[in-house]
Amino acid sequence: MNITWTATATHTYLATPSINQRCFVPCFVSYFCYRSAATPAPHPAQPASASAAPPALLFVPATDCPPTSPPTRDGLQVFSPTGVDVPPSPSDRAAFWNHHLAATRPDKIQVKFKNGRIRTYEMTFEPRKPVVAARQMRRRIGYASAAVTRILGLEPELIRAAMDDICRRAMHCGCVAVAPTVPLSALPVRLQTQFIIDNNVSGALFQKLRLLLWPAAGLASRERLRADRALAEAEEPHVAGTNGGGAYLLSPRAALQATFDHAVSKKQFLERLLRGADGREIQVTTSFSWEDSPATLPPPGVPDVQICFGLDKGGVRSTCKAVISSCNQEHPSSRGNTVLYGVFPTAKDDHDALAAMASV
Amino acid sequence: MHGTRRAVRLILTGDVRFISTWVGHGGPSSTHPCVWCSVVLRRTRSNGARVHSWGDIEAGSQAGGTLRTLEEYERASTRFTETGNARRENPLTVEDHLSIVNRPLLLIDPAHIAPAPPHLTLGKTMSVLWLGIEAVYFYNGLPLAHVYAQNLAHLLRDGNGVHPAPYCGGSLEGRACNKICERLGLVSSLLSKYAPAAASTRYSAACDPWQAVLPVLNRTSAATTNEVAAFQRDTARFVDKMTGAFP
Repeated sequence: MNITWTATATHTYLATPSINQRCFVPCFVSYFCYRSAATPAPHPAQPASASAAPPALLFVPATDCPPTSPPTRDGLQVFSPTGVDVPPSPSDRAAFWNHHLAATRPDKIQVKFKNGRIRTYEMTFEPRKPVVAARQMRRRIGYASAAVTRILGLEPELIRAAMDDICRRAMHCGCVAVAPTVPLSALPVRLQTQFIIDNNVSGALFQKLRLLLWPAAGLASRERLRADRALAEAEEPHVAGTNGGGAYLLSPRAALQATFDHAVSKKQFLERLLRGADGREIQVTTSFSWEDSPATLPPPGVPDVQICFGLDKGGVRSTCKAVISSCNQEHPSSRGNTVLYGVFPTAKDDHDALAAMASV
Repeated sequence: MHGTRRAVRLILTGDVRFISTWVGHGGPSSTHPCVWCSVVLRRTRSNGARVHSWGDIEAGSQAGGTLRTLEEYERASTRFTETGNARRENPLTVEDHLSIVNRPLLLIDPAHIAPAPPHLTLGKTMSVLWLGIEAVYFYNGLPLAHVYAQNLAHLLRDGNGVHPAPYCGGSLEGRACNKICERLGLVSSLLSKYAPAAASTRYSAACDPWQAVLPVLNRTSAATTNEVAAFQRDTARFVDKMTGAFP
């Protein structure tokens, strides 16, 4: 995805690219400073008297920003933002604003010039590689808007605007926007548990969010989450044990079976054929019988699943993680597609330590 | 799967040191450093016959080693059931164990051993950059090598758009290796200012095949037969040119 800032200029005589490019940065700066000056908030390290004092003035020319230069022809004046007591040096200024704008990412910025003209800057996303054609995209948005309108009973224009925004953001991050076709009163508790674990969200933070959004939003209470997590931990693919030196899954076979079942149910299971010495794929010709080989290598030409087993060292704590993944999926090395088999002490290059690890 | 029973093919992955330890191999610094074949680490004045028999790793694509087999690891598993070779009363000679000196913890076909992609892409790319620094050090000494290393860092950051990434931050590699690889010509140009023209030319020629090899290593789509053949050809070219440029 290619992110570009485009100016939807109200006045066409200023809309040539070179002028836009020149004017954009000072206008952006002036707008941001105007906003920050209009809503002053005391900096924690700043005394109350200092925050109450009027901010220092800083003039920004159209092209460059030397501190002592005169004001621009438009008379733009830049106020020192809250928390910055001295004007930053010219070299640091652009980096400072860029950092702030990248952190806040405002969707739309309006700059009012002294002559009363208003110019709007809006961030637009241009997909570098659209998944579908524009006509099909419009049809999909229309279909999704109609479906969501039926569920929520809101104004079609409001829904369309929301769907446009959702699709734009999804295209930006390379995801797929999904609209529900039936009303959902609440997210499933298991999904919430999975979200908490996947994103390392603490229980306290989740409950704060729940109280913020009201319990009617459908977020589960602490007790329900605990009960669901206990249920999940007791399921065979998730049961873990310890041996004093590490923690590991008691049934990696069940975990892998669950992974494959999930992939098959979602139609994400990919056949990976074995390759011969000449690089050609060996087609499946015979069925596999259990009597063939519990201990020896399965012969080529039988249907198989390919499983990777490996160790990775790293993380906040110095540990090594035994990871299992399946090659029969599109992104085998993606973290979400792997199974954490166990967490062990970090000595993974010592044969005795590995032997103790392998004994589980 | 779909109600039918399937065979399981296990693929061992990780860094090379871990793989070596897991299969009972002595490691990359042992006499026969490879877990896939029997090549000898380096030719000395006394091991000519052994190199002739088992292959020379420094010969690049012409190394000529013998591929290891699953039976070889099974034999080691039988031999070292009780203890490793170093603790045996009568230790086996190198010719006998070929650097498999411990009981393999997992019996696996050597064809099913695959180093983790980051260890290949990141490790080899770093080696290519390091070799440039070593070349400057070899020809012009440490002070100039230090200057070259600093300029190389600036070049990677400003010219190639590569930024330092922490390991634990979830951005171990990203596209940094690909970015470096796409503009290895810049690195060669920089090297030409610090090393003799012949050396920088050889370095540049050795970097070219790596530009073809690297994008294949960290992609997930299946390769065609032609791509497999091209990959084998490019890896051989890369190894040969590297060993030729940096003997």
